[in-house]
Amino acid sequence: MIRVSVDRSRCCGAGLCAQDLPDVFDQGDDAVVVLLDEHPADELADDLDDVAFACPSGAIRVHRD
Amino acid sequence: MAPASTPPDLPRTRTNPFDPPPEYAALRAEAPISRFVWPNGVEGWLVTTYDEVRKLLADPRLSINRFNSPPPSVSVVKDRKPEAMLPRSLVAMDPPEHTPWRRAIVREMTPRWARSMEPRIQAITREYLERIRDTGPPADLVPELALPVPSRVICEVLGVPAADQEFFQEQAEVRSQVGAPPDRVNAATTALYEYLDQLVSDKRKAGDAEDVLARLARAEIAGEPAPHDIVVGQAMLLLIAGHETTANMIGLGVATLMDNRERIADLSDTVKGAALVEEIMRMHAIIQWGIIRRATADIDLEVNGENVHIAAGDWVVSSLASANRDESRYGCPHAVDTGQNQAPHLTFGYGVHQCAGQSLARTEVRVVLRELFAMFPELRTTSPVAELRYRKDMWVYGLFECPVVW
Repeated sequence: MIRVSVDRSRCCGAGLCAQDLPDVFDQGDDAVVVLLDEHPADELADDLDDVAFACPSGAIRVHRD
Repeated sequence: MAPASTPPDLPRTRTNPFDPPPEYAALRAEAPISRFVWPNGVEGWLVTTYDEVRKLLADPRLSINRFNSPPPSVSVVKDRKPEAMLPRSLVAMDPPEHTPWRRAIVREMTPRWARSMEPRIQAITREYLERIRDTGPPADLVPELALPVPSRVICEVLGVPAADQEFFQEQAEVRSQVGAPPDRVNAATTALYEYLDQLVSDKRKAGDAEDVLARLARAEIAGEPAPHDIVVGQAMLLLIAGHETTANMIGLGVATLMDNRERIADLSDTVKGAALVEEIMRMHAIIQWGIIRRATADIDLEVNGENVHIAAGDWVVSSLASANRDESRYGCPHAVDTGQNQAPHLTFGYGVHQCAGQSLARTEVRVVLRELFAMFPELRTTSPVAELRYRKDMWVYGLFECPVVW
């Protein structure tokens, strides 16, 4: 099962995650990441890895529990 | 690894206008982090591989704040006068000072907002294309399209009144003309600064305008009212960073598509068009000599089994152009290929200073190229693209002119 966590204190608000996976991530009024779905479907695993890699501040972690 | 006694120059002689200098391939293979020397004799570290560039751009021990430690003359143009000094902005701030300012600005420029701007960017683009159609052929796409569209867009975003946009564009254009004398460039920079200084004051007094500058002028940063001079500095940054860079990417995009005409059709599809623009941006990291940081502490890295010791105070230049061609990341690094394994390119940098306007830039480049070829499907440059005049001695690479017929 996949679990996603975000570190809002690290986020620099580029919004690449919300752009690529809008059902999982959003941006708040301050542009900081908002996690919409802590347990996305397993099919999204590769996309989540890509988004975590692209994140410029390393604020996204994908866990495989 | 002991530094060589006389390190080589920063490689900057291209053998063709579309690829970085050939020395970078050898550096990637043999010395991903190596010593080099600037024209004025100051030495630094040159980082050339994708993984090392990413790692160092995300490292908080590398500072972007050069205000208290002015860099060596990084200009490669001899006898160049110092540029007019700009007030502080995001590109001179490290965290934690940087963090609230970054958030105040990126919240204005999210990917969602950039998507919402697409119809307006399209309308502005068509206005300039219709003018080109009515007065040509021929046309020079740099002054007639690539420069004015991003300038108009950023004017509207910042809230520059329509009546002042011509002045604004003229000054901005002086800054990117071929052979513009440094005095004229400095005069244009100062004129823009003084204009924005007044505009920010007016917006603060008016108190009700709804645009980026008005909101920044009224913002609280870390619990305090935003200092006026820094708001003006941020406005200058948004203007300069959002104008020349996008304009040059549009010009290089046209030149690239001349040799890849079969890809032009991709532009009419949003997803394919976006992928094509990413490849054009990967091919042309227009900050052609890399980005400069300074170590605030010792940094030890293991690279290819060897220890590299970057000492506190050392200058570090990360070559985005070289990282984007890293053979270990791209199967087809030197050609436009949207099908290859897509590691995200580093043209917008990486880390907390990654370009704040990247979503707007992506949309602008895609919409302008799409509309251009929709109106002029037979468009071609008047001479082979390799023979056009490129900004090979400028920090921001691109084309000085792009003469076309249709």
